[in-house]
Amino acid sequence: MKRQRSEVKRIEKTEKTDGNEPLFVRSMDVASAAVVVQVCYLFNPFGIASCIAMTTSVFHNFLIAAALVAFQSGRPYVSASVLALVSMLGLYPAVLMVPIALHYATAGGNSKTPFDWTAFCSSIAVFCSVWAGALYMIVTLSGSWQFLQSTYLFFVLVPDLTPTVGVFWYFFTEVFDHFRLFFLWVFQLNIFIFVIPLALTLRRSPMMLFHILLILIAVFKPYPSVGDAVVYMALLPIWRHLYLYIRHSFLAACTMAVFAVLAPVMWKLWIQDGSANANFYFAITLAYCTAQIFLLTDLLYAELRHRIHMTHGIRVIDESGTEAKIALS
Amino acid sequence: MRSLTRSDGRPPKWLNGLRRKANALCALLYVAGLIYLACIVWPSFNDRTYFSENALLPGLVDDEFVHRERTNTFAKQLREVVQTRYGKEYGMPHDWLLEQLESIGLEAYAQNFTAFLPGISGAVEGTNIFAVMRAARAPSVESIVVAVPFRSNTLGSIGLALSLASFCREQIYWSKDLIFVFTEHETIGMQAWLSAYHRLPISSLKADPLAAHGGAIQAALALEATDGSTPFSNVDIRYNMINGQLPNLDLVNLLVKMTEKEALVPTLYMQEDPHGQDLYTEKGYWKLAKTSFKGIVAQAFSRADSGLHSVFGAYGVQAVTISPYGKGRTKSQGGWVDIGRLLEGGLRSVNNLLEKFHQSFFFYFLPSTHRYVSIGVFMPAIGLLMGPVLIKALCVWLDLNDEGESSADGDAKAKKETKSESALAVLPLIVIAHSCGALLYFLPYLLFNAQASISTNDQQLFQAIATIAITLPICPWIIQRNLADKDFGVPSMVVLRVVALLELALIVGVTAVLNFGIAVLVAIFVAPISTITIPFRSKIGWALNSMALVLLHPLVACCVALGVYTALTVPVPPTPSWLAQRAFEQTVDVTVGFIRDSLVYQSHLYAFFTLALFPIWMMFWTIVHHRSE
Repeated sequence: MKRQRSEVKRIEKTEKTDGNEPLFVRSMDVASAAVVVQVCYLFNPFGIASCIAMTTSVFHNFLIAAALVAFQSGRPYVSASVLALVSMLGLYPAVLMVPIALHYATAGGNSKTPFDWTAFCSSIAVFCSVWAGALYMIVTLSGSWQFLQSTYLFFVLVPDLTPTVGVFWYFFTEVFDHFRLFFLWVFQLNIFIFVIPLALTLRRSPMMLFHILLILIAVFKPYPSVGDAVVYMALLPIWRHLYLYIRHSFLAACTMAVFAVLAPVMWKLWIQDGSANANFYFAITLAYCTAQIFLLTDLLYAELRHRIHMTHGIRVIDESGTEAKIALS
Repeated sequence: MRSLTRSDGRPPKWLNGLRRKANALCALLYVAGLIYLACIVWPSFNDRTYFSENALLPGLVDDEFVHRERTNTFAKQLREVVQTRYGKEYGMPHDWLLEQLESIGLEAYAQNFTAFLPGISGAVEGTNIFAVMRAARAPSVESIVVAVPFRSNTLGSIGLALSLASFCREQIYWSKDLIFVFTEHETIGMQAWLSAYHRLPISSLKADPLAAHGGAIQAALALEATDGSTPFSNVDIRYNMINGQLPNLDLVNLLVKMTEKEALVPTLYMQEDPHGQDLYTEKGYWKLAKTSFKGIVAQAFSRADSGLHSVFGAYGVQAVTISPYGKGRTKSQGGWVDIGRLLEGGLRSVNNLLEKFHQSFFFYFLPSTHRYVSIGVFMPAIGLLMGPVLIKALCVWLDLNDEGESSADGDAKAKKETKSESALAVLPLIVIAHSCGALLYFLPYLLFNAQASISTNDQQLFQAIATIAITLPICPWIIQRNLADKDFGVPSMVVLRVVALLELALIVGVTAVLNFGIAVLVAIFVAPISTITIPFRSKIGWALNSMALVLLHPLVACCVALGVYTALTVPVPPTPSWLAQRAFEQTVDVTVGFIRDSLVYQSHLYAFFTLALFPIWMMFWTIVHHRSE
């Protein structure tokens, strides 16, 4: 929010305030966002379903939210520590360290602020040390390194192919053993490789990077669940000022609604009745992943488009005096 | 907010064309859907049935069942025992059956069960008798079930089942166990047996645990010949299960082939196939269309009354009922022995299976015993019929967005606020509509306490449901007249319309996979009316809209449909008052029947009408009766 205010000042200087109101973050939006986010979290059907199923994603979501709170209220080391805890539990939320470290490297400034490498490295160092400390505690308590087999190696090697809402299980039932390691590398790299270009593009918008990485984790984890979607869905109302540029909200929302109804139906038809087969269930799960990706790209597009309009005004007039069309290249 | 845009943020070109021609396109798609449904029954557009599972080897073996005297003796003895012991009451002689099964050499057991049903005072108690014939050379990991209900007119079938059991006991080639089940109270007993076998308890059915198991059930054949005199001429093959489930098409084809092998005529819904040369004629077409229609209606409103096979679906078991009937012409064929050979052929084919039925279709409907329409052919019909609903929803949504952006930028913010506020304002209406549906769904369970000795009878139950269902629609009226109009301005009704249309499309689409029959019937009748339901415009439009919606109210629609069906099937033209009374009585029966089915057989029809369709109806009712000033 501080970042937005600094950008507001910049555009005011260029005297293009007429008609640019929809671009700015309004203070009443900031106030109401807290309530709307709470409502979206509490009444999310996926969240309620996770509670009924009594999964541990509740703890993961709590720790991620706690890391986010610490991140936004200016406590870098607290957020790094909490994130270390949730990474210890789930491994993949470790990528969320990138936006946190970026934020404290470019703390509250505009693009002119130099990148503070000390802050960057120190937050990552705190993260690593807390994680290492937690691991050491586990080793001492359990007496051996056996737990790695059941935790991190389980995530990385994907030995169990129980159907989930992710993309791993269907593919790995068909892959030949000879190529299994290769495909494991490719699939696991999926999460981590996208972080680099996203971080470079969004290095000045760490909150947006955090949100987008949450969606990325929810899609590409080896064992995702719908409980992973709860946090990022609840956070959507904070981007009120970007709603003007979101293009596929109708499509993504309809697909999510269809998934919520059709996935249990396909599961029942396949497992209980024996009428359908794995393809039915995987199809609807793939639609769910597609809807999430649509949401991710929409947020990214809206953020980039918003930046352009913040520098050039809500109606971009080029040299000839006509309105320019802004296209994604 | 925009959707389906090009990279520079503007809508694609085809979308503008769509919006201009939306109404014409909707009408065209709906008519195309109806024509499509009529066309897929024509033999050129569907395929001849075939066997997908090679392991079945249908009809390859020579049938060896020849025990005519044994069958007749069993049947005669059973009749004597029943008459001497129970007279006209036709009670089930459990001990006699147990004795006979043990003398054959099978392990025979009895299972007691008690069912608590609404509308029936007191509990329904019964005992199932079942016998397990262990496979001589194989581990008992799979089994085949032969089920016969005990009724006054199935004594001959029980005799046949007993002699078939004695025949099977003498053979050495069985790789799966054979379980012969004789149920009391027909499908209630079968459901009790199955729930005990699979250890899945049902709340309204108290079934004792079984003393013996046979492994995973691969297939079930139910025999239900009414004691018409042999020789039979036709065999009715019934395959519709609860919740619109169907068995694997291979099993149905197997029994068709076995029937034809015994020179009997297989029929579906008592309709014979058109003869070979009639297949591509108009006469043949009407026969195919009639069978298809009966199939769709049977799948839509599948109750448990078509046979014992109907309850096997929930447990993932493929099951079919054989029902021989008709007057055979020659004495040498169509007797009990031929039915026995039919069953023996079916059992021996299923015996050959290496894996459970998975090769052939599970989603189909049959215009005749030798033609099938698979899901790939009939699903586009749902797409065409629901297309108007989706297009309307999209166009209304885009119009709503355009209203927000077409005005000058200064007003844009104000319009956006109204839109999001109206979207939030409409949320209570949606919640109320769904709560009404939930209330209607849970009402029978609240009224009927399984453990209480007082139970409501049919009439009271129906009266309670009807009262609630008819008075609930008054709620939106009251709410809207009492609250200020600015809270429910026209934009919010438009948002509600989008939500209701999308929800209808979702419900019908999901149901189309589960139970195609009911989905297509709902799509045909509900889709056109829902697309033309708009908020209050002119008085005539409002009146017509209201009338159409009243006709669509689930109870009213049920009454009307049953009235039409009765009028068509009754031989003598009826008087309107008699027809109305008959339709009303049948509506009561049907509604209470749905509730009973949901308690005992876990049928989802009642939930579909109350939880899924009624809230959507309430939302459309709210839209039509919105008053703007």
